[in-house]
Amino acid sequence: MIFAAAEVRKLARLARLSLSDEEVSSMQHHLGEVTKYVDSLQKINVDQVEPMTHAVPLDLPLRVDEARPGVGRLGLVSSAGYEDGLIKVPKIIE
Amino acid sequence: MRETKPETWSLPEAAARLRSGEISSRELTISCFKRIHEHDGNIGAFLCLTEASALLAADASDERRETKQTLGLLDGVPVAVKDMILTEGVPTTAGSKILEGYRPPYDGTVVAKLKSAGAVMMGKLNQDEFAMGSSTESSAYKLCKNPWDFYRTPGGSSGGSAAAVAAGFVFGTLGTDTGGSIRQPASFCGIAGIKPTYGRVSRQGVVAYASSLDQVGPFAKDVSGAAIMLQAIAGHDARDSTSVKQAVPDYLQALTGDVKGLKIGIPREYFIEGLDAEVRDSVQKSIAALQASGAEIIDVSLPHTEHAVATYYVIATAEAASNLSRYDGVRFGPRLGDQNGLLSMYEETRGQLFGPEVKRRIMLGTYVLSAGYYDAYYLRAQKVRRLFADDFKNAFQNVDVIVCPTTPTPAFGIGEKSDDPLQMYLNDIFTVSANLAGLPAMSLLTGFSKQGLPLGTQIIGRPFDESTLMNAAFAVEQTLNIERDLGW
Repeated sequence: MIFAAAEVRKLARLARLSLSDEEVSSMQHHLGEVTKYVDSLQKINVDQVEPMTHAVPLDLPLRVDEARPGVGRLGLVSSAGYEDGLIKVPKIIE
Repeated sequence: MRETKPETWSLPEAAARLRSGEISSRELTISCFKRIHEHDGNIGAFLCLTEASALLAADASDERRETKQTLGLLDGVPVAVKDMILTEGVPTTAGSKILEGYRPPYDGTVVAKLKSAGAVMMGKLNQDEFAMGSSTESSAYKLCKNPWDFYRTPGGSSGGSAAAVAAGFVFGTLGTDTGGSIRQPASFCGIAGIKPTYGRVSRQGVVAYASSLDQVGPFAKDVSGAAIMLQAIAGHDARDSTSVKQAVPDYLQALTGDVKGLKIGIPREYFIEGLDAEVRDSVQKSIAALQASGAEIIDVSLPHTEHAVATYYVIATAEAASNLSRYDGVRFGPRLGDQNGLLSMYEETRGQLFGPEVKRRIMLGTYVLSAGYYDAYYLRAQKVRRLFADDFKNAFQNVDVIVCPTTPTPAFGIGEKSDDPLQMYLNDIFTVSANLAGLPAMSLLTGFSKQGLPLGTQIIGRPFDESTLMNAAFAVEQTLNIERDLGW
């Protein structure tokens, strides 16, 4: 089974990945092969089985509501490019 | 005399020589860098060296020792960490071009802990890009070779971490393990590597691959070295909500070698066709060693094992697709395509700077999460994951640890599997289950093949019972007493 090129392109758009024609073609085969392999999971009876999302039960601890020194705005985005202390990004509303 | 060469020392031996004053941390650090400069051109374990800060740290350690304020066994010992782990001001790329030039503003908790234990940080270690791979061949920067055979891979994804210890460049390293990325390279390189229980070690400041599976853990030549490293990094961290509030026992003290009455489970599903005969023999020797020391051997069943890799790839890629969405050209690393607007910036930055294996996993992850397929793949895999956890829970009602192979074969050749991603994935068959169930597991050296390649045995333990599994490993190590000689 191979994936249709259009389907690969649609997934690439969802994943925000530009792919060359060559990559699309190799992805058609790869996705086909791997989904065929993982289809073995369809044979397992999972009726009445609760999904397991984490290995340990998680609570949602809240930290104490107090100010702590951070790393600073500019420290967090090291390579983004700045102007007047602001982060530069392309226009987001055309 | 051979013993005077630091590259042959284990971590505890290096610590003992520092303590006795036989060598200073500065001398030891310089000797490690000398070996790295001489040989890492052939191996490719390091992506970056931090010589200046290492020497400062070594001097500080020597000063503490002089004034009797030594911080413990790791004080002054040269170590290094996988490039997945954030290091303040030191390049952290996760093996990817998309993070080229990124210098984090803070240390990951595990790095901060190693530093506060006095360890000397020597640099950052090579890995598969974003820890996606089993051979370190998907590193965007350079190949890493197996110190025992330069035509073979060191395994992966923490290949640099395993190779650096095996080559005698440093005494302990950290890696990350999402589906076997500590245990498999430890096995391929003939050293000890532990994936702790999920939640045992903080992941704060560690680049995320698949958050419900990722765990940080140590490498060292021998079990006690790995125990010393684990002691330094284990424990609850308020800054990682998945880290668990559980007391951390004294791991070194647990290594008595006494396994009398310990119940050892042997999972029949792990001794399958395709398991290399020499690997099988070395695991059998480990089992015999435990039995000779008074342990009881019990047959157990982990019936869902054949579905481990499929379950793992659905869950891991789904989580990866989500985690890696943060690399968008806005905040970290280089930015491409922004002259043509926002969407182009995202797609060009990601499309050009992620490598082929990362793109494959993001695409699969996006597919299994997409409308119409979520229930059939992702939700189903999460349900099957519970069946794995139940398999282990049942087995651990009757046994204390499980002993099995780490990998189906010894180290494979460079290029041998890189053209066939599915074959590469299948190499993880024996390691992914412990991640799915969140259990602690380690690999240790238990033999050499006729070709001189290291062979490993895996030991899996109950949640948060790293002590018992390390003690079983220690007993095997003491009994087998395997000599290692790289010959260089």
